[in-house]
Amino acid sequence: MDLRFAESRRFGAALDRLGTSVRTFEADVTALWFTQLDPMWRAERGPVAGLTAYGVLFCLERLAWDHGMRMVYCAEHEPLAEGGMQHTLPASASALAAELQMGGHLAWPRTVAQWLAQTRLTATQAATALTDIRLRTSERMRGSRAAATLYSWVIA
Amino acid sequence: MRAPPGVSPQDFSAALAQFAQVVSARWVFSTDEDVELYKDPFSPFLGEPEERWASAAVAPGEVAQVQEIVRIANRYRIPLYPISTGRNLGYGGPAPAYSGSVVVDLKRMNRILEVSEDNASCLVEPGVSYFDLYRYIQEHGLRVWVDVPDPGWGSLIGNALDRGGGYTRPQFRNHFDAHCGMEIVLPNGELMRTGMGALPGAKTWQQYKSGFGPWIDGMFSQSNFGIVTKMGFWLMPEPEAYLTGTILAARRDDLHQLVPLLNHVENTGLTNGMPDLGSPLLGILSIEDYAKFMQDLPQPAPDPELGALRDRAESGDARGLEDYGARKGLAYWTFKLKFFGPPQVITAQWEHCKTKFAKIPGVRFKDGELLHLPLTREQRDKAHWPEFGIPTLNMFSIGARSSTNPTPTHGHMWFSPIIPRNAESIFEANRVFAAAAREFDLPLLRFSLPATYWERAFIFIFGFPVMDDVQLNRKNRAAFYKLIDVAAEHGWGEYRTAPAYQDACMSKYSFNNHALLRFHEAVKDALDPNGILSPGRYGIWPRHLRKTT
Repeated sequence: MDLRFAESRRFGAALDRLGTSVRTFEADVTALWFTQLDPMWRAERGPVAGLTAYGVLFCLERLAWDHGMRMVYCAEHEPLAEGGMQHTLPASASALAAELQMGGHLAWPRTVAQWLAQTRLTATQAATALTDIRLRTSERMRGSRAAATLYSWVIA
Repeated sequence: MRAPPGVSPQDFSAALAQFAQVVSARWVFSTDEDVELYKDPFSPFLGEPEERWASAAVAPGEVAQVQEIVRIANRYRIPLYPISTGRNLGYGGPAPAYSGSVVVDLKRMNRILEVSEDNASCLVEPGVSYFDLYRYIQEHGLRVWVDVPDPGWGSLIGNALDRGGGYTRPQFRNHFDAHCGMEIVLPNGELMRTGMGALPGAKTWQQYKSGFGPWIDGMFSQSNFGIVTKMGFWLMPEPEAYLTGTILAARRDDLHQLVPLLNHVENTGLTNGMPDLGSPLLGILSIEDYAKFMQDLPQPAPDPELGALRDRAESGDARGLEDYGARKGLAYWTFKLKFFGPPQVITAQWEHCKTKFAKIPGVRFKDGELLHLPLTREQRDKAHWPEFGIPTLNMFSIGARSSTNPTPTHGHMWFSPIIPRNAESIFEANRVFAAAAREFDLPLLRFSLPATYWERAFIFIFGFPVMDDVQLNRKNRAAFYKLIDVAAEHGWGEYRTAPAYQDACMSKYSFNNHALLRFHEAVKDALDPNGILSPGRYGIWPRHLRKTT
């Protein structure tokens, strides 16, 4: 989780409660990649999920290719100027879309984390997910340093 | 699966099958999902038919496999496009210059063959990244630094062959100049070593650069004459200490004295780090400050008075801005000098530099902290890592939509002309490029200062955004081509560019009816008569694809 963003902190906390190993960084992903992800992936490929800004996702996705991994899920979470959030999800995440519609709007990072923790995503799913799902929720979380568009993602 | 242009599906399938016999099927990639990864994520043709595409990729693990791949490609006339790690984003990425080429992905050839602390050198394969070598140096406790670009995720060999640069001492900042010895697979599959590597039994391959006879290493940078499979580099012995000293000048015209003095202290070795030019009054940040700015930390609100004064200064009347600076204690120019070496020596060097710059009326000096190396953890947290030979991915913390970046781009392409190292050229380049920006309806280019990667010359670096908007990208491409023309009209040529612009840039190096390009083409025809290796890279086309000359 990127400590700059309240949404990312909440996403990480939810995964932590579910027993998933959580790693943190603040803006610069260098140390996390150099000391943890790269050694881990050299030893054995393993899935990694995040809720980060695009730059970090872009960087880690490309580094993961070297270890034979791909992005198997990616959704965009965009704060809207008029307030609220727009979530653009891959078609393979229709169940997540339903949960986001039903759930408390402020809890979306936790909803995404819980769904990712219980869902086994595959590259095949990602490849066949052709139509994005777009939905809007009416509030957005406060406490972020900036109103940034964030991306939830899984590399496996 | 699409076959390369001019290659039948049957021949392409046969070639892929033979590639698979060489490297195993696991390392031949031909599905759409796989070859998609070899597109340039910052392509200026994003989503347009001209976007460069690979027909397949093959990933050899050793030199003999590279040789065999080249022989097969000759047999079937398959265009190949070797990449090291394909991370030269903004200058083309992994995408081939000629669509339909098979990418020869050298990432698996990632062995660090030798690191000598005594000789301060290394010998590596193309898949070795700056991070890989840095890790090796750290794990082995070696007292050497590798000069890294920013970001440092790419390959030493790839970056050097594209003539990239870094941030430490001049002889290491220029990554191609820092190399010593190459091993190359030629377009016919033959293996060649340069420098002392050509002498069997020589123990000096990474010690003496030029060997005997014509020194041909440069022909394998920014070219398509061979596949470099090993390369030696000189490393920087870890210095004892690091010091910065900043010269602050108050008047616009002080630049005319500052630049020659900078050249003098750099050319005489009085300063040996990368100078960092800034302007508090013009809002031009130093390298370190720029990194902090892009972290989206809270910024002070811009002073409206300052904005108007900057506009007038850029029109040539800087008196108001100078007065503003005097009132607010802001310098017009800051030249931060950097020093690597023993503490007593570099402290004395900075003191001597001060005596040189003191002749500028009103100049002030700011002493930086003397850092004993290696850095403590606390010092490291505050440092601009590449200046200390530490690779970083920090650049990727930008890119989100935020208060300092309200319209994030998809990527960027660099326009980077070389200009003379004098103040007149800085002012002239700013005038010319600002006028061009107005003419070509580009976002107004504010006054910029050049980068100082190279000795003896400045380089301006402008980032052209790549957006998700095809029309906007077309407009920006057209402007890019025009800027190449405008620059050439003033004697400024690009040092490096993405494949989309390589023909245009090369066409400007046209002395004596393009004698240089004709030489390149003669070499190409002699070494690679089938034209299989990186067709079109840096504007060098094989005969069968060459436009009428």
